[in-house]
Amino acid sequence: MNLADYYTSFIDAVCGGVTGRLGAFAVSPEGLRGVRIHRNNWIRAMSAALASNYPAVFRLIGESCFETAAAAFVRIAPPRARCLVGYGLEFPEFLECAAGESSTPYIADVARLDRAWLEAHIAPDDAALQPGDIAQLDSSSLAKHSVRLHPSASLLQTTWRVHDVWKANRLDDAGANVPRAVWRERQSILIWRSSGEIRDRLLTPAEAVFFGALAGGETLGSAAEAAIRAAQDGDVSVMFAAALASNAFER
Amino acid sequence: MTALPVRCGIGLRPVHYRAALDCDADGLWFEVHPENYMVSGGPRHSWLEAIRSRRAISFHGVGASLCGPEPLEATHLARLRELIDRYQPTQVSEHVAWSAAGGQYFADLFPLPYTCEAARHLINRVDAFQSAIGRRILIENPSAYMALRGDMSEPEFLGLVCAGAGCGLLLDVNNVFVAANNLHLDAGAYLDAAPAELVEEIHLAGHDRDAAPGSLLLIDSHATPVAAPVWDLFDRLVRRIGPRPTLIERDAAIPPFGEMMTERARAEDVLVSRAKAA
Repeated sequence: MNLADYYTSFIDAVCGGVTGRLGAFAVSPEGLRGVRIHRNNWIRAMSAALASNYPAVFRLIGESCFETAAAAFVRIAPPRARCLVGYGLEFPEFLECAAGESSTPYIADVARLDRAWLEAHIAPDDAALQPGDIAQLDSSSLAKHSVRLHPSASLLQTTWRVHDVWKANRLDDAGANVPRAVWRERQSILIWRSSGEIRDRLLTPAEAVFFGALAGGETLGSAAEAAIRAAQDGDVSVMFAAALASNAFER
Repeated sequence: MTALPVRCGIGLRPVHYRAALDCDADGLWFEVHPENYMVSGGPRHSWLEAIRSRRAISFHGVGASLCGPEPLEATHLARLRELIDRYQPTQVSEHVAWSAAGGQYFADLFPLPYTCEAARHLINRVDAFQSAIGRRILIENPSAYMALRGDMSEPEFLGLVCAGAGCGLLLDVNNVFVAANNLHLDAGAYLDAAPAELVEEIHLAGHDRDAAPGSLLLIDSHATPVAAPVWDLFDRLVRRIGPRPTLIERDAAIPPFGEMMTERARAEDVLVSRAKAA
């Protein structure tokens, strides 16, 4: 009876439900009832961490369904890091596979938006590009200038029309706000952090092309041309100024 | 490094950041789980910096897997050290438990048998942990749900480890009550046997009954107010060893900040009355 055997026996009991070897370490068979508590604590801790990271998913599918999903997910992708704030990077993909036949086939899109919110929340405090940083550039230099999205920013394209649904279910005091119908419709959404606040913006087609081009490393000039080609009604200077004013670019 | 005030603190939760920062109560201090701040940036660091600028804080780790089978995790130690350098917590503590195996983190506090082998193992681990983070720590007695064979009682085990590793003891009165209920022990006798000179902090929290039909187990849920018998045990402990920095913990079903302050006031009454009596 040594410590190494104890550790493996305990993990076999908690994860695999095999309590035989652990019996040698317990004072009495009654003591093994505690294994159930540790198994519950473990799964609940994982579920709580995922619910904290994916709150809109939690509200939309409900506690019971969420815990079932979390219990399955933790077997596939258990956490390695001791900080659970970022746990569940693969959760949207997992939900994508699991949600095909469910009543919420759009749930993976909601999860991606939750993930982008989390990434924005914990991203480095890098400085944002300010109007003064580029004020000295003339229009020709500006067109050749590359600006990158702020490290807190994620540019997402959804398969389903989920932006409103996601927002309604992010609020801390929201009850489950389950829509009657969500239909397939692509949406482009930018999520980033500005002065400590997480911002989100449903992008117009021109904005989606513009920000997508900038994120891909193109210059302001070529991103603007691409945006105008994609949607004639887009006013590139206005969208750039608005994004600049709300700290969406990296300094 | 100065010591924590011998007053009652509150476990800091993000939902209370604003109220915690605005609160002007005398002697109030806060405890945080450093794992929740192991992120690159963002508002939670801004809040903690603001609160740290006004209050003493303690780091109460939950992720070190201090009693675990594998070497202490290097990344975790490095991130903890960074946070300690940044925030200069007045106190650092961890649990007498393990929570990781095979590279997987379980986020639960698994028990250790109180054997001589386990005591030697934990002494070495606490020693390595303290060296890695550059701070002396307190170790906390765990809740218990299963009686394991061992060579000694929990107070004896904790005393041995503290002496061997040069660490102090964080005595969680709710954990004593929960463990005593679940393992059919005498919580009062446990507290009377706890080595007074080693106790440098006290924790108070709530528990729940196990929901399984027929179960008499209590769960250390931190989801309810401190229970009446735990208040009685706290009074008994402070009467014997004198006041110590005390913390009210709540990690789930978190009430408004004002309710936490009401519980704090009750603990403060005990600490102040015992300080006067001494």
